[in-house]
Amino acid sequence: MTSARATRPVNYEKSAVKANCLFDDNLLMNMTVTHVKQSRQPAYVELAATTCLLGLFYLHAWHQISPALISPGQYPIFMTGTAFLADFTARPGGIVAYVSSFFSQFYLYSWTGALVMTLAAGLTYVTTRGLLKTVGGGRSNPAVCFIPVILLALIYDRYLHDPIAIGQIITALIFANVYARIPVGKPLRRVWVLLAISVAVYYLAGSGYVLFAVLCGIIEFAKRRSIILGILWLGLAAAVPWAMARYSYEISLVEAYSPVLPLGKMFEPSLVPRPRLPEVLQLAFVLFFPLAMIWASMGRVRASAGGAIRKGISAAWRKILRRQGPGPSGKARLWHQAAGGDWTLRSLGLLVAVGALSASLGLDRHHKLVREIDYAASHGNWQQVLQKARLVPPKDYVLPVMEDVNSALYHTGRLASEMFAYPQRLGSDSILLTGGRIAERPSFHRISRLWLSLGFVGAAEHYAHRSLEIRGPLPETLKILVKVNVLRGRVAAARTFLGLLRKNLLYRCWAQNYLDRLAADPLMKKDKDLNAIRARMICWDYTMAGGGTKQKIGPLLAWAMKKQLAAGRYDRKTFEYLMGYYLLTKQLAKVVANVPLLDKFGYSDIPRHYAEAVVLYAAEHPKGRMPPQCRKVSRTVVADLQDFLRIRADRNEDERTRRDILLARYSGTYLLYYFAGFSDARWAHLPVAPVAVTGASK
Amino acid sequence: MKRRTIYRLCLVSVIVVLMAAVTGYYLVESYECRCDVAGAIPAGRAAKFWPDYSGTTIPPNIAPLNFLLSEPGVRHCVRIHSTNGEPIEVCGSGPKVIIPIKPWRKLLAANKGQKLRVDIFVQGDDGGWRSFEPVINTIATEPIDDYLAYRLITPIYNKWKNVGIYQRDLENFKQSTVLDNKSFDRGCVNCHTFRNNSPKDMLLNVRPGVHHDPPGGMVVVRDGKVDAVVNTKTDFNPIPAIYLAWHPSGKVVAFSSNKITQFFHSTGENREVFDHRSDLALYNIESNTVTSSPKISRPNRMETFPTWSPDGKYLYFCTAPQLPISQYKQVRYDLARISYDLKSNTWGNVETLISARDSHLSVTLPRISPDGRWLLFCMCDHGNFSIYRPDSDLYMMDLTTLKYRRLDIINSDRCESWHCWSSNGRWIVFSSKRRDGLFAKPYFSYIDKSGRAHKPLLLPQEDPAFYDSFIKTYNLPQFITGPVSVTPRQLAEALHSADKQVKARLDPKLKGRRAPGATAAEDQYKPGPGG
Repeated sequence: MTSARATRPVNYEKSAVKANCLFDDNLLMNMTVTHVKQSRQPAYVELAATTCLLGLFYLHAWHQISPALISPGQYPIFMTGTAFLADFTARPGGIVAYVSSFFSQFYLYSWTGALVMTLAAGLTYVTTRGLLKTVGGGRSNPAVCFIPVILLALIYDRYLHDPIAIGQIITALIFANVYARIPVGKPLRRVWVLLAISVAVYYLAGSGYVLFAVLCGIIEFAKRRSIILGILWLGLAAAVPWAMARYSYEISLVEAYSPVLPLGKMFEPSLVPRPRLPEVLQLAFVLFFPLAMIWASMGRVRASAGGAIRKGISAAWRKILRRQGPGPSGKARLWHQAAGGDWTLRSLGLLVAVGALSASLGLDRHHKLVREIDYAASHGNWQQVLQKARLVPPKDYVLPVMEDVNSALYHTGRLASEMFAYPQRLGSDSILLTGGRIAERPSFHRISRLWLSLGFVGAAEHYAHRSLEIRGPLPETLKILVKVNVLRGRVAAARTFLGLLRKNLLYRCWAQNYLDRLAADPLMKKDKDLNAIRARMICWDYTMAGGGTKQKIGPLLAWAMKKQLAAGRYDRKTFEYLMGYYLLTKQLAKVVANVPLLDKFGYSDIPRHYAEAVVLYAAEHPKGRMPPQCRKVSRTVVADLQDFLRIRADRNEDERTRRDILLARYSGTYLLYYFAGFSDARWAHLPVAPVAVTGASK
Repeated sequence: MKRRTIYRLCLVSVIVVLMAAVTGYYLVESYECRCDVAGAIPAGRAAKFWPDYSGTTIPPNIAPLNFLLSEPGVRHCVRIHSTNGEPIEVCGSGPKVIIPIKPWRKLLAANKGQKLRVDIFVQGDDGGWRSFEPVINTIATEPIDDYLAYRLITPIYNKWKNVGIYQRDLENFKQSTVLDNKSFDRGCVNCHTFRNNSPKDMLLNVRPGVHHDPPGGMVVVRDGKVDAVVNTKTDFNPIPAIYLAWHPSGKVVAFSSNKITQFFHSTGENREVFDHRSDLALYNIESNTVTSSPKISRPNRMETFPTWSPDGKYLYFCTAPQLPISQYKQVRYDLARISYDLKSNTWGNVETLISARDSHLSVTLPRISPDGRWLLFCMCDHGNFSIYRPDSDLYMMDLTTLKYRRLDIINSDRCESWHCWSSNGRWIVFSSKRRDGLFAKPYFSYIDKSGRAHKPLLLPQEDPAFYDSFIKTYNLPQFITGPVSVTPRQLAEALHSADKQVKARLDPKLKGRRAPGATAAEDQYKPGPGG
């Protein structure tokens, strides 16, 4: 690639002539002519390079980010119909939010979601290039214009992006380009234009207006040399959101300035605890545009004023981004180099390298893994859930993952024998989703889904209503509420939820199909899923306190499940989850007492974890009575316990060695969990208080 | 193209669009049926449609009763006519029957006290028309109040995000916001109460959001202006005012201070509300003082749901023995009243009008008609939160005889609750979950001079399929004679303004007294929006 330039000379001429610049007009004209003569790069080179880079972006988005992994949350919600639209048109920024919500629906499939992401990247590139050209006297370095695209990719890589904020930023960039191209007229006319475009942009983009106004201010300073208008724009950037927040009372000051100041809560609740990196990236993304424009406009000053320091900066800049070979000479070359130029092999290669490195390092692989597990669980790919769960690091092994893993183990018939082969949480949290740390607390609709599957229809409804209120009509929540209401015999309410779901573009068919089935069979007596829930549905009334209560929900749910089994309603899921709860809460006596029920579910022998609990109980209560079914415990398990206790009591080895041996030999067993509070060797670093067990030494 | 040409083109385009819009509007308004239904074959039955407006008494100023036709066919024709005026004919191919508003209003205005007949014709696939038995309604002579104020909430429990009070113009379909919780940190707003159905005098309870900014309180709107945001907590009642009743004079507000717990059931109706204790007190607006009497804040009893007789001489309320939460099913409220003299601020003796021991039911939400003759109230199996009780029904008491009866025609097998009288006493509105058992919707019923209720009709919507996907509850519908005279912004401004914040003082006579059972820990108490 040579020094040839692809830019149109006419534009340069226009921009040079129309700029009421501070420079010597002759100098600028000479400079422009120099460009025109020496810059002859065909436009298709730039087009090809841009296409190639956006193609790489697309591939990264499709295969690395996989937008479908973002989709299960179906956030932001989009519905058809004027009522839904009316909510958006009534507030500033609503139109962009509406459009962004619409495009977010494409995340359902990775390839279409990647297209949307690439569209955003392409618009970011084009608008950035336009703006930098405007303030840079007609030229901008395409490599520089790709920096925000890389930042955007990094934001997408974190799985926590806010599509509406990105939409607002892109809208601001588009309108800033429009403003830059509006012919300059008399000052009064410019003020009218300013007011009109301000109203339009604030209405469309909401707080994206802040960025727009700042960019317009820079355009006024750098391109049109209008100090007053520049100051006016910057003043508007600060004042308009403030005034709106103060006037309407409906948005806080922070919200008024977001996404410029992404200080509010994150848009999509994270599945895993994360630092605030995505917000920093978003801030960097927003700040890039004004800073780059200031830098580009400074290039013009440099070109006119020169100076050793500026020369040095320009030289460094040239080294990084500019091609080798002869360029424009003299002062004009200085500007030419500082302001950037066209693609060179070096700049292209450098950009690809930087992009690849950022994509490689920026992708939050563990977050992706957790989302893959969630995605696989929501599609019933249980083997994949278990396979991927092995790769999750301890710090990301949060309650939602545990819930997915336990579901997968149940569905593959391995809950009773392999539950402790995966990390579990001490207590009822990981099996019944009854609590957890705030950072990893499962969403309301996840709790609702699990409890519904366990037959706690009333409790599931309660949490689904919470989800509906706090997160809006998410399709998954609406589906749960449809099932709950059919199970409760409130078919009309189920139809109402289906009526709303029918307005969702992606679930329209599902809802219509369900409505048709309801018309044919109002109580859905032939529905397999519902019948499975009916089989374990709690039929007697008991009360639970709402949120913020000190009441222990875990024991209450376990009590209800126990009562269910005692009433002769033998359901395998109820049984296995109840036993899982007893194991996790170390209620050995209750595990032992329920072993006889294994016959009801067709077990030929006692599953591994139950057997471990039985031998532990026997060790603790040598004189205690045990049901005859417990005698079926294999000798291997008994030998394991003896070996475990021997190693634990062995005073010839230091504590660390004993611990390592136990971890190596008994990782994944209930024995380890019972004594250490964890069962996965990877969690060994976590401090766990030793559990004193009476009679264990015997 | 020259710039001037572009401007001209734009101008012409705008004019053309405007003209097209105006023409289209008038075309739609004057749309007449072109269907030839002369040879229609009688179907021999009534048509199936929803909402069921057949046989109702309708207000002469109500918005068109649009409906959804459930008869199979390719086209429908609906003819609406009465004794006087031009009939209205509506044709269409879908199930929605949308009646033009202007002819409808003309027809109703010209036929007060007359029958309104709706003929329905449906064209089958074969091209033949079927006619159904006409739907006959009665147009009342007395209008309904112009506006309905209500709170819209999802079936929430104790966590909320979007809560707002809205008003609907009953003569058309326009809904506007009275106050949205977005304007005060997503706090809770509830218990909107109007004095004598006047939109100029309103009370609202606002509870703060998570940041406690603004702090909230009881918003007092008097004579169309926001008077104050009153913190009604005092040493006597550490829990602020919950249920409000404005004295007809406008000088005092009776309120209950309730310690509420919410919980939910594993089966049946999901939610339950229990009052650990509650007492009544009066807030004097002029003197900014809270006062009470041992007669309305008795130890070991709970008093709640105050309401004044129209002459202001009696305070009606519900009262029950104070029981532990484990006996929540045994808590049943009596209906009682006590005389009150505003001038001397003196109380008479408590009279029990309905004893729960005799009725085996719990009385809630007493509301008296403006002429003082009728008392409308709810009765349910237990408790005081009838909106969560599927067995809650409406009853009417004749205050001249103190006899009461169940209003069979307006009750359903699901919850009826939160009722209100219109200013002329001829209409009531109530929330009912009859459609689906989950979302309460406002129904109107005509009450004739003998206190007889007529078949209720659902609040009409412009899109008759509106309720098919609407997942909010119309909570506490209240009639008002016009739009609320303060704007949402004025209300929000008052909430945020330190100048409007007023801390109620305790009547010196009550100094050192605390409502029975109340503890200082309740200062932090914050009930959910259901309360």
